Amino acid sequence: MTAIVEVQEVRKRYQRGDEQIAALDGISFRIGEPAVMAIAGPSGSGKSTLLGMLARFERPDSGCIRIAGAQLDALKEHELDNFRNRKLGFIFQNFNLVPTLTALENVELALATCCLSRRERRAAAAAALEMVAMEHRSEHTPAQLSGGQQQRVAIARALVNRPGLVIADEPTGNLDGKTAQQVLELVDGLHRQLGTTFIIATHDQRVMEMAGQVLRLEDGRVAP
Amino acid sequence: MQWFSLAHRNVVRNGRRSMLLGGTIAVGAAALLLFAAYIAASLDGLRESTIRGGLGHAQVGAVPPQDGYAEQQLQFALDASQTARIEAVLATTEGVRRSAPRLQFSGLVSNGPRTLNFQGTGVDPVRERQAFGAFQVLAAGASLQAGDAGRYQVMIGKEMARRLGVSPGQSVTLMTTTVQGSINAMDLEVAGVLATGVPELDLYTLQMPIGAAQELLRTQKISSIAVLYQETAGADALSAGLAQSLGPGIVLRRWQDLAPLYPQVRALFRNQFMVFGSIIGVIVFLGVAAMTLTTIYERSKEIGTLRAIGIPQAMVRRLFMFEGLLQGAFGAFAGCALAWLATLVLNSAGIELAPPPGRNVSVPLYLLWLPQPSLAIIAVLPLLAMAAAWMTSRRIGAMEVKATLSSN
Repeated sequence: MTAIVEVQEVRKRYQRGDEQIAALDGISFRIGEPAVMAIAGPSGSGKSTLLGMLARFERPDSGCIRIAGAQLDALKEHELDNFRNRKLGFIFQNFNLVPTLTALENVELALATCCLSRRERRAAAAAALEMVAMEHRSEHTPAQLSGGQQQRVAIARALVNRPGLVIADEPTGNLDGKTAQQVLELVDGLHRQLGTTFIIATHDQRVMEMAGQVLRLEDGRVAP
Repeated sequence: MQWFSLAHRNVVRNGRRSMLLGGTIAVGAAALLLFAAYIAASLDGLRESTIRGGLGHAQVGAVPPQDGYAEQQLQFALDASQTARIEAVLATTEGVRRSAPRLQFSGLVSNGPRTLNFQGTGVDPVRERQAFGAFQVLAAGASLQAGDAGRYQVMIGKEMARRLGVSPGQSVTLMTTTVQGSINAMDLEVAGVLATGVPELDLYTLQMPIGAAQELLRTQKISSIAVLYQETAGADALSAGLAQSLGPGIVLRRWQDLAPLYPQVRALFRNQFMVFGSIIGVIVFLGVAAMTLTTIYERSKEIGTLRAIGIPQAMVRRLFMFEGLLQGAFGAFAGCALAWLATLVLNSAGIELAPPPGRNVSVPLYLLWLPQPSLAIIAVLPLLAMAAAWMTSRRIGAMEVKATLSSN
């Protein structure tokens, strides 16, 4: 059976002055079934670098990453755009919503390359907002939303194309405790409801408790 | 996704910068349009003053001689039967407003102590005044009188009058070669002093009744008939039709052919407009390119987000192109409005410009607003701004998603 995520011996080094820093040093793991995986570790352990590799925001120096059977290295630019749009959702710590667009339009943005009519795109975006209980704020711009509400919109945007995998980089990092808990419950519910796999980089103990799998990183390696 | 709507919101969001860039484009566009309006007014004025100042829309004459001597020209001048035929055609041609017979000659003019060269024209005082009187400026005295009362009157240029020291009421003697080759002279009373605005012309110009001129030259012929149409628009078509109707031995010369300076001035203005327009174009291009580049760096996180959710590079660039298009369109429309208002204000201000080279009369500043340059500005500047944004946004392709997301 094709694994949802398969990471083999991924390495990444950065040059800092004369020194070479190993951000990732032979990381391997596999997610075969839909799951919520937390990637934990101290700052500088390689969590964000690993997420960047999974979303192909940057290339590994060596190793192989397969997501839903697709080897990321082999994808051409337009295939990569298509992969990020259809197979992958990404949730940022700072939400990264487009400030000039409403919540509905921000979600609709992820459907820009779909072969849907404008009416269908609107309906899909509205459904995604409803899924995260944000339908009542659909016409508000990010500046008119609280942090938790913005993160919900970001989650709706990540899920609107129904990807098999959603990657989240510290999604609760900028939220207060209560709001963070609500977002985590939402993620857990969506995982159960939609069968979406979530990979979440976090420092948050609650995320690790919620996650079925926890991958601990330390100095770019999987900690024992 | 409504990319155009997003572009519009981005332009509005960066209001101050958009205003600054739009203002730069607008000022450039307005400057270009005012320049175009000034050129249009200058060309229009030059054309109409050339035509209505005496040249006419066309001149009808005999087949021209191969050289320019007046006495030889008169050998090829129009005789009475040809003149009558031409007058009959002109009288029945729709669009012809006035016609005035002319007899061109040259000779010497003297008041006794001083003698000068002159370029004389025998005219029908009534028909000449009706056709071209509105553009004739009298510095002193009066126009030629019609009939016997004015038969031996003459009008001379202002500079000629000054050099000869004569004024209206005094007499001068004209000497010239007749068509037979003998010398003839005639005393004439100065009726008026002409001011053409061109000192050189004022030194040589002289007008007298055509009957007296024929008597002086001992001929019954005339050199040409100047024809004035109802309007300048459509003059070429009317000239072509007239030329067909006039028959053999008669030639019609259009005003453009008689005033070779006009197409040269027009070409000069056109070249100046092209150079100035190119400079404005470069300013717009560089302005939009600089702003797009700045915006790309400032909004790199937004660009990274769009790329991270799978929006292709081409679509992101399209967003910046639309923003450039909007900036260009805003600037072009604002520039047109600004130029239009400035035209109204300047035309009503009654500003007098210094006399142009070769003239001694100041010229009122007048701008002729034409829709074509504005339409061209509105069509070209937004596209130019869009091209600048498209060129600059290539930078996006060189940006790694990771790097853009971690910026700011």
